[in-house]
Amino acid sequence: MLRLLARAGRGEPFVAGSVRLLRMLAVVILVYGVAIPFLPALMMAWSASADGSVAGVFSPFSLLPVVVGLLVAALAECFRVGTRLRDDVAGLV
Amino acid sequence: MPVDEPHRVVCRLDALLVDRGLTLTALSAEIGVSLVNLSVLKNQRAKAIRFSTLTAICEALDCQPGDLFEVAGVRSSGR
Repeated sequence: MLRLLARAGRGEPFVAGSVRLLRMLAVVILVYGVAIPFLPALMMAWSASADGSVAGVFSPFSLLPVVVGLLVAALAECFRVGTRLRDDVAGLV
Repeated sequence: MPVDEPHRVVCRLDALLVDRGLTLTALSAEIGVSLVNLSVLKNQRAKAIRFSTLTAICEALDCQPGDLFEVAGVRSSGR
């Protein structure tokens, strides 16, 4: 994110690197939001259950990381369009 | 020629400047276009020009767009 802010400060936010960064961030947030809440419950159920089954495992699941992840993904798409527009005006005097 | 092929527009700004006895710096100061942009134009690195920039250059050099640009490899039939 600091790299993204530095690029924006230099007046060059719309580059391929920024798009990649935002896409990676969206994936990390989505994975964190979906997978992490299940891990402790999964570990507990696995160690508690004799046959190793995880039937009946319920874990509190928040939609907030999913929403934030999708918003960051949408922002990445906006930056992708911005990168294309920047390329279009390169060399314009 | 399909529009996605590389262009063959040649800018004759350097010749016009010599003809009018002007430097690029003087032209930049007169019309308010940055020296960097005029240099890009003069060195054939421009890919597009704003009409406002074109108007300002033609007014300053007392010329027409056809005096400033030509397309290489196309013979003008004068139609």
